[in-house]
Amino acid sequence: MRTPATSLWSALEAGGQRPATEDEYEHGYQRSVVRNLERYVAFDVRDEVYALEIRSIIEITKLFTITPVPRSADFVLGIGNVRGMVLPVIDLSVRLGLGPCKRERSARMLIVRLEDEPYGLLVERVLEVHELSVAGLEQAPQGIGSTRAECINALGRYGSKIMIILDLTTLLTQRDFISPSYASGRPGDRHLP
Amino acid sequence: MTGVSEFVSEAQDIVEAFSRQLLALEAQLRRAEDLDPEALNAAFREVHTLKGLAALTGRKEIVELSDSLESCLDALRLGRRELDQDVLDVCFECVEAFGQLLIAASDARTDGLEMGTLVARLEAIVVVSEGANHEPAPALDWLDESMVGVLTEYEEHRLQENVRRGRAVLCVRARFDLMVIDVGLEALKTKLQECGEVITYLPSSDGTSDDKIEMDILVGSERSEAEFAAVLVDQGVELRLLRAAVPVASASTRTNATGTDIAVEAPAVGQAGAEVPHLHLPSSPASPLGPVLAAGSRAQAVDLGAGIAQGATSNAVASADAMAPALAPELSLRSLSQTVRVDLRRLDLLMNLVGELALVEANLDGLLTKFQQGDEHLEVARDFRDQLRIMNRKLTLLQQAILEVRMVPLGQVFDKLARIVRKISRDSGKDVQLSITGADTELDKRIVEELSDPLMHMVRNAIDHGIETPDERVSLGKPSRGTIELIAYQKGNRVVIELEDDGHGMDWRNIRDAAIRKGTISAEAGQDLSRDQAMNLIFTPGFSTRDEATSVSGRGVGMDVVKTNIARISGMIEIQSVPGKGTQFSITLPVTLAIIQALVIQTADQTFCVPLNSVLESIMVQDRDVSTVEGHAVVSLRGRTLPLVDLAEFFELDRAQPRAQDYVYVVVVGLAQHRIGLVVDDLLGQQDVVIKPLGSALRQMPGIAGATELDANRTVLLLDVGSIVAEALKSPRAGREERGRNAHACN
Repeated sequence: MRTPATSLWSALEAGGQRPATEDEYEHGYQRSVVRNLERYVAFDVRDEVYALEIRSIIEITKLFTITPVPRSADFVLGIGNVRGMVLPVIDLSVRLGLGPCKRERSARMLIVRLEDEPYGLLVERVLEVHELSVAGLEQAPQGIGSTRAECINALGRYGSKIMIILDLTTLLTQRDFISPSYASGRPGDRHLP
Repeated sequence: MTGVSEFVSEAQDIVEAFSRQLLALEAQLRRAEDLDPEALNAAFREVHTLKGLAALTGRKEIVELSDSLESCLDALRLGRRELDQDVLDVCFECVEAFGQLLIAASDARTDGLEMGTLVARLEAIVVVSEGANHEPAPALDWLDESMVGVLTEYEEHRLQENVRRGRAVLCVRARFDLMVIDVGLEALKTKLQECGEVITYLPSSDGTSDDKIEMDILVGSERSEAEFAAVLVDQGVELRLLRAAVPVASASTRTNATGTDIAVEAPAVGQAGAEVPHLHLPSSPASPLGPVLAAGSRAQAVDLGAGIAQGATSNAVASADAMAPALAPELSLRSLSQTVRVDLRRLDLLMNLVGELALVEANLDGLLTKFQQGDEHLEVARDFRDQLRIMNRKLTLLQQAILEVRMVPLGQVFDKLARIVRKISRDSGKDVQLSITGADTELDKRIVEELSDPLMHMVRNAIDHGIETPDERVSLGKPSRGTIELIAYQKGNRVVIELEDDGHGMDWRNIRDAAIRKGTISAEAGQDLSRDQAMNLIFTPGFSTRDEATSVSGRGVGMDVVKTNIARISGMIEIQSVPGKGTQFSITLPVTLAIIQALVIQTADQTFCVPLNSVLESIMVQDRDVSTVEGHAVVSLRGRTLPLVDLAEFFELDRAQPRAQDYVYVVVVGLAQHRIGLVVDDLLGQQDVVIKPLGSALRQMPGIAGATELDANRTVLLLDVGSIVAEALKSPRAGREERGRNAHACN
């Protein structure tokens, strides 16, 4: 059995072919080509494609009852309750300065976690989990100069569209949550020396 | 991350325990008593443990400091150095230093906390002690050779110390089952410590079998062997007098009293496992945690009288059963406070679960009501109702049990305060003692944590500004040592903490005048001020700056912060002061923050909860009874004028349609001395609610304290009455003509 195999091998090599190794059978051919793949959850806000890194998202739910919180900023819809966990819910569209989110059947709530605390983000539609190579990302262009620009982490491609990858930390800057006229803080915030 | 926080919390416990031992030693020193060697030894052990722990986690600075401290304590416990105030001072400084090092560790800082000088001072103590001269130690030739050989330096020192004091030395031989030796030995040691000092315990040189081990326990005591025998009756041990007690004066004449062997026989000796206490878990709900020792079983309690040697008095013939309760509480308590460490987040999770269970119950109830409307299923419905009731009862129990897990004794904070008192009084050259009552009063962990800063601040104030210097006190006819009394007790479902000093107190007129001078209040307003109102001025923020010119002399520094901190944990603070006699603060706190009773209200179609402990009453007011004073809506209530705040207006809530009825409900809320009426549309009832934090993004929201779930997954906001009252009294917006609110609401 050995002899024909060897001869086949050498025949192939002689013909300028490179036969697949066992390792390549095992793990696939083009494994080394794309590295540093990040997975993003892409969603629609005002007909633009936005995305967040998948690891910041705990779950995606349908809309739930939201209790408005007085004196909060305009983008804060209120608080919601997901399985006994009370979380602030924000309208992503308002947060990005694009006007209120359309609450149609496709609207979803992204439950995200930032610094160990949950938040709910209202979006118009969740598209899919999209894989992108980190190397293929562009830096956010300078000079857009809006609320939205501050929240943009990077830009990627989603089919023919641009996918805007958001920066959760800026998006959920805590000082912004309280309506500016009340944000001065109350006396109780001071600490004892 | 968790590794560090675990280390820090454990290390903090150790440092706390160490400081407790120091305080005990200091008290003994002050009373000029014999120092308890066990306290010193315990302090040494704590530091040793800390060193090991720090070395394990690579905290170099803590290792260095605890190493020096350990050598210093070692010198002390070996009697190479007398314990005096100077040494104690250095030790207390070490406690502070450990505190700082631990803070640095939890912040993951490594930068310069300089411990060099402290280490040097500790080393100096050790060096001095090594150079010191000592009288020659009494010889130990009366002791068995094999025993002398295995004594550690410390044990030898203690043995000699006992001899020097002329105490008797006894050897107690006990047999233990190998399986339960740790428990049995511990129980016996506790027993022996009642009558003397346990110097050491060693496995006995003979008579060790496969499943039993014999221990020789050396005890030094002032009691006679007969008394010993009485205590040890039915323990199944053998008592041997190694050296009789000698009057201290003739301690040098060596009396070689050997071997009046007294056999204390227990009936069950030799029966496997019967002679040692058994370990079992209690079934009683009173002590749900920790192993409890119960010595023996009833079967053992045979009449022992005949077997007991001379001197065993009849009342000492106690059955093993009778001894069990005496042993059990202490042992179980110890394991509880030293070993139970639960992450608060886990408890929060449990709490959430219970809350949800309660919701299920509510839903079931609703379902049943619907079900009952068709009356053919009456029988089934009744069963269903029964089941529901059972479930409800179980839920209440579960909730109660979980709440109890969160409870910690206030002693945790009080211990820290004792240290503060010590430090500040020494710094300020005043003689102050802290008397603590009710340290075992329990409160929710979260409240206890939040309490420590305000209490510390108040204690500091009391010493700095309240208590006079010893000379002043004597000239005033007071005892030269000032007293701060800290009393905690439970009162209904609240806990009251009183902090009282016997210093020079505050004169309300001085406070009023100071407030007028600083412009905190106008002169006219000042004239109308009552005594209580004037006293409460010390809680106003502007009042906190020190004014040298007044005799109140900065009393009330930061008291506004103290008050807001206490208000944040739903507490109230009141003050009483008699010039010349002292000042008393009284803090009233809820037992827990996790579950509170709340009044559910509705206004502008939104539902809110008001913590019931800040609600004084709720009344119905006709629109026509609301009047205006200088543009503020008020209502007259029992002859007093109550300012009104319309909640819908306060929160700028949109009202879909104007209110239909011509009356409103007024919820009278108060914090300390201030009372206001919250105007709402409807009162929906009263219920227990589980409070949930809003998350850090919304935590600072003025007027809102948290959220809670009502039935059917409705999330409702909980009002922060303290900040609403404060804001209403401050801002001109508040209490604006109440009937103008509809125009305002379209925002």
